[in-house]
Amino acid sequence: MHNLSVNLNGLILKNPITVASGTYGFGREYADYMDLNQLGAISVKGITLEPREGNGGIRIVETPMGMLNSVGLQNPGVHAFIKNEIPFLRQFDLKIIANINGNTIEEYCEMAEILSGEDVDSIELNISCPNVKNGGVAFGTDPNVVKEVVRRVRKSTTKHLIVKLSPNVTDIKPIAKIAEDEGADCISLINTVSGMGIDIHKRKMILERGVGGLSGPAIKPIAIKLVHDVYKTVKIPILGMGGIISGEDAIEFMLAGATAVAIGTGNFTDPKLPEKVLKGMYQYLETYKFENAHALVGNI
Amino acid sequence: MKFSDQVKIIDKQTIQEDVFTITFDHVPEMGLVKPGQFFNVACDTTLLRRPISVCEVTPTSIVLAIKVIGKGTAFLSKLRVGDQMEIMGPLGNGFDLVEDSKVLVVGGGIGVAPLKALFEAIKPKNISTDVIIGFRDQPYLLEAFQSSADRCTVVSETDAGYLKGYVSEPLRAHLEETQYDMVYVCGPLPMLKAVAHICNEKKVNAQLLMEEKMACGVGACLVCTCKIKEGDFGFKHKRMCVEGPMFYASEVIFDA
Repeated sequence: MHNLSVNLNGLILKNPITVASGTYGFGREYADYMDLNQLGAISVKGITLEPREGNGGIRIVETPMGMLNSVGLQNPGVHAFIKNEIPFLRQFDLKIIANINGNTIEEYCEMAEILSGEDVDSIELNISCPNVKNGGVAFGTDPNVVKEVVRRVRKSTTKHLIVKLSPNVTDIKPIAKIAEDEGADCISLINTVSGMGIDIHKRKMILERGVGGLSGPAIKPIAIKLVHDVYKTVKIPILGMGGIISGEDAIEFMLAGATAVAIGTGNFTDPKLPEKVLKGMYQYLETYKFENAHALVGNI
Repeated sequence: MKFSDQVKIIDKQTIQEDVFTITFDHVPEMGLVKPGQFFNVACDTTLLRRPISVCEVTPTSIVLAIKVIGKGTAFLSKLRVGDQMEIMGPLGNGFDLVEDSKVLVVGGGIGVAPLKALFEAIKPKNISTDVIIGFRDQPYLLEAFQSSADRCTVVSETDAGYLKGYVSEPLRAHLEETQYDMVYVCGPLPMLKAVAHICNEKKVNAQLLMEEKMACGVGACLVCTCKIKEGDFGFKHKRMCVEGPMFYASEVIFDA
């Protein structure tokens, strides 16, 4: 049997397959379709200090091999997450990554402090959501803010810390470097690509906020390139994602430099996709005689 | 585990140029399938599945009635008897079924499909079941309603030999004449909105089978939400695929 376990700088996953924040709810939504024990980790739906109702209007536009979403972090709040969702997820053999979001740096820090005392395995700092007015991508695209928010959140928690980066920048390398320098344990990328759709019959934006986040296979080449850019820039491990719908896609991310991968929009296409990707990964290791998954990382 | 697998198409019928039915086996793993529930159906031509309501449910088979709208449904229209189809479900809450009541069923366009499953389930159990259905052009899936409804009114927006107009006109007349215990509604959004408005105004209970673009179908992605009243002034975004697609007319907030 191959050794599929990977180490994300202290966060050890039994296999490299995780599910991306915002695409898997809190796990329970898929528990009737997938054995959650097959997952290395789940990054839960993005949570905030207070419950949020999210954005109004149409929230999805399907595109060729992708989708634009504008959900806007609808979630039950960090306290409901702690009370209802952590105990549920603890029934399964998988790592829990809490994806946190805030309007201000102070809110990110407060969330990190609250979660420090809770049973989560990692905190994913989401400074790349394109669907909110404050925080999100506005933070993640400004190197000075990235520096400040990562530094202060790092001081707020001793938990394993992942910083999730946006692809919506001219050069991702200096931003990844800042995250590493300020104490991130791991970098996850990419969040969705900013996009827009117009209803030509109504001559109006389809999404209420105009802009949404593009995900799915349409963005995979962008994600592969950015993962590779970051891989060449930092020493900390990468959790790679963006359009994975097969074992081959996951392998490609690992060869580009990701130590683990996340399946996002692909879960919507096939609720059993994570186990299929895992199977595909086994077959690849078998075919090319790799003894462990780690040997794939950046192996090009 | 809930059902998510391939099914073999055992029958396919063309109802109209752009409307067809697909039949597959009702296997035990699907469990009880309620009228108003749906299956999320994979299409080779699209990344996302298509949520399709059940049109007929028997212990041994399930029928979906589908109208060709875009690439996904166009793909499904080309499937043939013997082909495999990847589906998951049943999903959603479905209708609340009443008994010993006076019931009115109001449908529009392909919205009559789930109402057919509903009608067959409730017709034997209620005092009376009236039906009003509207179409843009030529009607379809009429037989069951016409043969056994206590009263069946068909309207069409074009001059198709039926009462011309929208369902809202006969609806008002019906509500004047009869004290209904429950109105069941499915159709395009403007129709749902109009019918909900009339039923709320007349203080008649109505169940709306809503429709929204979906992705996951299981409540994870939150793209199919609608506004549901919460308290006197507030609202919550509820998921059509889990808490819906059936909501009571009295609780839905329609955006302008």
